[in-house]
Amino acid sequence: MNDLDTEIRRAMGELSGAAPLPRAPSALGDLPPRRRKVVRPLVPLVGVVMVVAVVVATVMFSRDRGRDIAPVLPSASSAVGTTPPVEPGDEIVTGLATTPPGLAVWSVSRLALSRPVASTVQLFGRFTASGDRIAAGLLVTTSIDASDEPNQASGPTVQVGDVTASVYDDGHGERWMAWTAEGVLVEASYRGFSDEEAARALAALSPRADPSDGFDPASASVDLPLVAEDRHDPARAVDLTVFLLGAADQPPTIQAVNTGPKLIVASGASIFGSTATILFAGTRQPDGTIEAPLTGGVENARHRIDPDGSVVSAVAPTAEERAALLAAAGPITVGDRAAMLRAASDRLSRLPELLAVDVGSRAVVLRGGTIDEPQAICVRTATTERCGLGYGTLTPAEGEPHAGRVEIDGAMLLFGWQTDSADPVAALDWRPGLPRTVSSPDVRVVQGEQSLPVDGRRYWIIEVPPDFADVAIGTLRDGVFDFPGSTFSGARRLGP
Amino acid sequence: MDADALAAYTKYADEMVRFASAIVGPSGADDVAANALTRVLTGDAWRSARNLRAFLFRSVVNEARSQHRSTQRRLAREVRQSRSDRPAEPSVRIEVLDAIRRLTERQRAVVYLTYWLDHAPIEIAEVLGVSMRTVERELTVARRRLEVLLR
Repeated sequence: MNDLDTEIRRAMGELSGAAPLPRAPSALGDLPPRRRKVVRPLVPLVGVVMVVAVVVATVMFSRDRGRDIAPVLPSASSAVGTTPPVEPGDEIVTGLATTPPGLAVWSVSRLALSRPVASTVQLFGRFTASGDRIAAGLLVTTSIDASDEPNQASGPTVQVGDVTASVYDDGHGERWMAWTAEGVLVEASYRGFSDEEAARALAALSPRADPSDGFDPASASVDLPLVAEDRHDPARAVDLTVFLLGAADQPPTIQAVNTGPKLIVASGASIFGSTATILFAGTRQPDGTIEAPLTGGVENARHRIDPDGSVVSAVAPTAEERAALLAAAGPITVGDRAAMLRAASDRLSRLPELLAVDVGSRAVVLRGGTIDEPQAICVRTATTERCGLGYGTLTPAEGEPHAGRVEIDGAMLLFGWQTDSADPVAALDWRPGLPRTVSSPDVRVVQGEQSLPVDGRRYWIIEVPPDFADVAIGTLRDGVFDFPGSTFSGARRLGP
Repeated sequence: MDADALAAYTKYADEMVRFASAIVGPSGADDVAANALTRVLTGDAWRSARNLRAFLFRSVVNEARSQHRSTQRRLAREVRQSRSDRPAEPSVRIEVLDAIRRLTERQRAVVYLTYWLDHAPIEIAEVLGVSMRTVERELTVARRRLEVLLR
């Protein structure tokens, strides 16, 4: 977080802190209900979420001859990574096949990741003569507009056929326009065009039968063909594995979660890498990989789009480090992947013990750093101890409670601590599309064991039932499960 | 307002007033939050809301939008009062009020949810009912503007 971010956070804190107390219920006026605006999507949402990803691939840069054509293969959020069952632990997956010199793997976490709404991302464009960048292109995202009212045009506008689009500029050279029509939100970034030229190019495209599915590639002009397309289906999850690295002799700090070095393997287009977005923003390197910012604002990533539609992304401070990390990605077995995590656990378990708290027949152990910011949190059983990084790697945005996970002899254990007064922690059989609060009869929820209070905290351990495919943690009160962080991801087992 | 609505109000009112404060400023937050929550909780739609908290967040943003003109006038007045050493909101600096006045309601909401509640873009998209790309863009634009205004 830089000075500006600190200043903005401070400003938000000032405004939040200066808020008056809420009005007493008895002082609320009786307002007449406002008439609801009728938003009429063109098709039922369910029809959209059932769409199976189909990717039309046309041109992509070629390694040896810039104008050659190479297919961009199907990529979709529904492409959950599945491997045929072999012997347990022998399944082949993409991972960190070798460790770059001077680094060690400190965490391997696997997630199932979903999207809030169905959307389609299409890139129409043409490449530079050298074939390393999109010279002129439209990156178009269409999605069901879930808001109660259309985007209010603010600032400059431009006509796209019959509709008025707002035009935006991020101050760094990227311009985009957006409009909502008949329940569908369309957002288009463009390069190599003026606002008016981009508007004309967009107006020339014909929507598909269901406009939230984007535009018909057949309607694209020959000099602006469809290059890549990704479909995001909120009913299906992407399989995401993150390998977090650091110096071999020192666990990485929490900043490394964003800045790396880390390797991300996504089974399909995800929030961390959509093929269309990568191609639009990226610059192809001589080795065929693509340098492009990681979606979500993290800079400095290098991507490889594999033939099966999966995306492998390396995040590290320098281009050389990113190249080395991505070059180290390759096929490994599930057993290899689990062994990396065990090796990281072994290193973390050698950190000095700060605290051990009994939770049933096991114990939660904090190691290294301080009680408030330990470098490792561990679970100790009668026969072994397994550790994870102290800031937890259970979910990308876990909030309270502070949690980690380990797998011991095939059993997944979630563990951590929470403030003494908080509602008890529970684990939920996660699936895409869950609401933020859900009643436990509607989903399977399991509670774990808690310690006695220790300095205002309760430590807890949950053994996840083996038939929970993916799992999220939250709090449980009166049979209602409440997510503390994102509802869009669940922790997934690593394997044996 | 029945018992269920009252319970929902009790649970979310403080959070919504703070959220409203980030969007319309402290002196208008009470009105905006109270109007938004009353409108929602005296109707029936909220009972089937998939995510009531998100529903209420959106209602606050919509209420703030509907009061856009009065919000702009109120913020401008607060800036003037602060400049004339009549601190309407002594704990909020003048440049902060001035800066948020120049953002759209949605941008203020995105900035607050990002920087104060630490929500990820995907969560903000869910809360505000917009696409994640919209969230990222609104945040980019807002940050750019605040960079100029707060420095």
